[in-house]
Amino acid sequence: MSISASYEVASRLESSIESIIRGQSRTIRRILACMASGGHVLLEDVPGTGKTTLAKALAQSISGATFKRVQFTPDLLPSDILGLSIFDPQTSSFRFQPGPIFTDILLADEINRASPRVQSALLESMAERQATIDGKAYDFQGIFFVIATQNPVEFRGTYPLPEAQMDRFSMQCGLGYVTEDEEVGILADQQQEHPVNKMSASISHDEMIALMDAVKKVRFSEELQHYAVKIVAATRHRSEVKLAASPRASLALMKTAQALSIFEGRDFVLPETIQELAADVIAHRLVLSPDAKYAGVTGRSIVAELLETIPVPV
Amino acid sequence: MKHIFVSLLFALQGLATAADTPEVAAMDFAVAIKTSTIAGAQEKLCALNPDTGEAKKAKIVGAWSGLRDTMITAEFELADQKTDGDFAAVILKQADPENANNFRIYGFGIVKREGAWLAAPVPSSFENSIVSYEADSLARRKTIQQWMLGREVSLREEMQKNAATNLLEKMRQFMPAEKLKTIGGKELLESFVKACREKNQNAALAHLGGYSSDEVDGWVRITRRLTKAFTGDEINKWPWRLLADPSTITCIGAAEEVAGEIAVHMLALHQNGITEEPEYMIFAVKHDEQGLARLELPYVFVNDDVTEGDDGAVMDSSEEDQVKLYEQLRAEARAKLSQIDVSKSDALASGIEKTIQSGDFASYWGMNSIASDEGKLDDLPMIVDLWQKLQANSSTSLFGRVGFLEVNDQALLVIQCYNSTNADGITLKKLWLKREKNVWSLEEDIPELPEEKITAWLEENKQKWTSEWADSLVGGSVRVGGLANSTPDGTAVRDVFTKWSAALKEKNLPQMMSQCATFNDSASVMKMLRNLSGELQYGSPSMEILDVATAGRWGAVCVKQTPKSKSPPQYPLYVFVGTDQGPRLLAQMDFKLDAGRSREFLNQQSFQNLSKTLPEAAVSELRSLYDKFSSLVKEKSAAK
Repeated sequence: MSISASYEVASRLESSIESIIRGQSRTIRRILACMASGGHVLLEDVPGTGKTTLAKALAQSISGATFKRVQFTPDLLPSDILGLSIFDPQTSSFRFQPGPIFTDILLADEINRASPRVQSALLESMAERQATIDGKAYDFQGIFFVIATQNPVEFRGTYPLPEAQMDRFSMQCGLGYVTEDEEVGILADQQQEHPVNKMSASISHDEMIALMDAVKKVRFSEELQHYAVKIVAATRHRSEVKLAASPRASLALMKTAQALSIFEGRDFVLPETIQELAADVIAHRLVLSPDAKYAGVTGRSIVAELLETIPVPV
Repeated sequence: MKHIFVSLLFALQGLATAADTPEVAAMDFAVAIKTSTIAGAQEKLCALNPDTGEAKKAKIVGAWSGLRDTMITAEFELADQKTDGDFAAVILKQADPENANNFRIYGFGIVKREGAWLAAPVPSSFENSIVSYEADSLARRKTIQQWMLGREVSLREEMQKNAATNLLEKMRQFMPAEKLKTIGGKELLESFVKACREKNQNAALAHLGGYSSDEVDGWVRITRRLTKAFTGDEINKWPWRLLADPSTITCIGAAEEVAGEIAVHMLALHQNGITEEPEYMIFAVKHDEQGLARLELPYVFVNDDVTEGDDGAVMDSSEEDQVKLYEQLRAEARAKLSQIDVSKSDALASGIEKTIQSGDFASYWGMNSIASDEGKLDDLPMIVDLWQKLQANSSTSLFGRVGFLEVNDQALLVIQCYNSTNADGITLKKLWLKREKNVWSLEEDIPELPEEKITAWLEENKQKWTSEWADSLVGGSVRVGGLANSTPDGTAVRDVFTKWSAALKEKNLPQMMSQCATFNDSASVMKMLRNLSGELQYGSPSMEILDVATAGRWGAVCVKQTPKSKSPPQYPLYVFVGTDQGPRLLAQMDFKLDAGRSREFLNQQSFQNLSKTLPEAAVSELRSLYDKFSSLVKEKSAAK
């Protein structure tokens, strides 16, 4: 698929989602770019900001795309996510019954409520795009985009995601609250029925796969490669950072920037695209020192400072 | 933290205890990974090369942790092994006897050092072990490692292939298919409940269509729910506990056929049921084309989103059939009781006291349901409610009778209670009994017109009962007036500690008490109970005895406790004294070694308190043990 055709597909998908979710256009675009780049997104947000609606809208916008939602709870087992072998009395043999992870779009709701064992099962499968069950590896076909949510309000009874696992997510962002006007619009939209229920597909499954392939063709110049790496590497020299971003962050930054460029109708990446994505891609991977945390430093503030100090290639 | 563990272990390489054969080395290593901390495993059983870099050591620790997460509870068995000179590859398996498809395969490289075998640190490889790097040695290791990796795969495939055969065999052992052609509905459900109580998933499957040649409706969902229940903690929760908990009081009615459909009815009363009444369930009995019977589980067992209060079906006392079944439930519960003369208040009070102490819900409910002979079904939830209030965390509570008085048709049983989750002291539980038609029974609350003689008696004794520990409550421990003039036997001390720690593992406070001694004053008893409560709530199940020693009138056991979390290990010192029943743990003494300055201050405070009541010589004897073990623990900590 050419870049222009990809842009057309991306635009259709974006318009479709924006018709359902109000007032979040930049965030939606970044999340769609994350999906197109083959990554996964972690949404940290308060309840009721449209996380589930976004995931559903995504699935319904792509014809033939499957959608599964898993509510993470403390009693969840890895087999509840991955699937398990079930005895079939008629054939007197075991057959694999895939779990909800075998889907195009998976909403992993409140991921930090499940035990670390279950989190690992999901996160490792996300990274490898395959699940190993009973010693056998099963590949995930198709889109495979995970939207995981964390609820920042409640800390009791949660298992924070292990720091080392956070970088399985290409991006972390929040939808946030909408403006009053936009909220009024939401009320009007949903007076009769939720618009997501009557939503129709705007792109095909094949088009989405082609879009994902096209992302790799977007030009990412050598200067920008250095720029991206410099931003990521700079986190390793900050005294406030206990655990800095790894090359995985540079890769994610490149891929999501390539994808976002398609959504903006370009076949090349601009430094501004990297700057727009840097905080979403890098901040959640940084583990800050306790002193820095108490001083109110955040991963996002560090990335913002780095963007101001690192020279932009011209 | 990983680095700290590894460094400590690395420093303790000299303590390695190698095995006589590769198989034993692999078994020991696997068991150590499964049961102990990672550190514990390396300390004793690992041939880690001292030149291994820190980053790799951390990775190795991570690999062990990952391996431990995948291990199941079954025993390790040898699956295959190969030896070539100083190298061996051992493949172990774990096979869940209750679930044929739940098995694991693990490969371990084993190396011979100074005539004994030790496991290589990295599973399924010889990496980072103390081995020669000469060409011949390398080649032989490569060959044996390749064999190990290939064999792991082939063994896994074999086990997967055999899983179905094993499952059918295990199903047959419990419930042969032929029997399902003739079995009655009631017998089928009874057998299913037995399988659930034995936590036997294979057997449970046999009752639900595991042999069926027909397509069983919702089979995937049934087996998924069953697997989840039997492999996780759901089996101990509602609704599965109604079938699987042996303490559930159940009653199964005869199978009934209505409009060609066969159904079996069941009542189940669980002691922690939020409805406090028996739950009513209907199991449909189906037959496939070959005439094999199978049960259809009620809705609550096969659906994910069910909640106890909303979806549980409480017995309907307006339904004649259910009331009939309920009468059967009571009759069966009573039949299991030893004879209790309910025409005598003290007999009922003693019975209640005994069941509360032993946590025997079925007997408690049985004896109290006698009173409902007069049709007072409404009283029965109250009996369960009372039990739940009394038995909150039953195994970690103590109960002891302090008083009983009968006046006319009323009686009051006063029980002193100590709950380890609420370690504030004594609470009194007052159980009122009433007599109607010459039958004594429990009252829900204080009678409207309590007998004045009883209330006066209660008022008179209340203060004493809430301030003095009754022998009936703490009598399990040995009360000592002072120190015996003899040295406790070291072996006996170790034995008592082992029994005590086993009781701690089971969270059985009365059992723990039976291995303890306390000085004969109220403050000492309180301190003992508080410390035992602390052990129950915060103690670690993983305890390793570092050493046992005796001095003068004392014995002491120094222990390494490894918390489940990644917190550093703790080193408590348990103090023992001699009693006429042998050495006992003086649980009121609470020493933690090498645990920081504040803790050291508290330790010294304990010595000062002891000095107030014991001769200085006795305190010095204990201090000598304390100093000895403090040095030992410091040495260990320094090795970090």
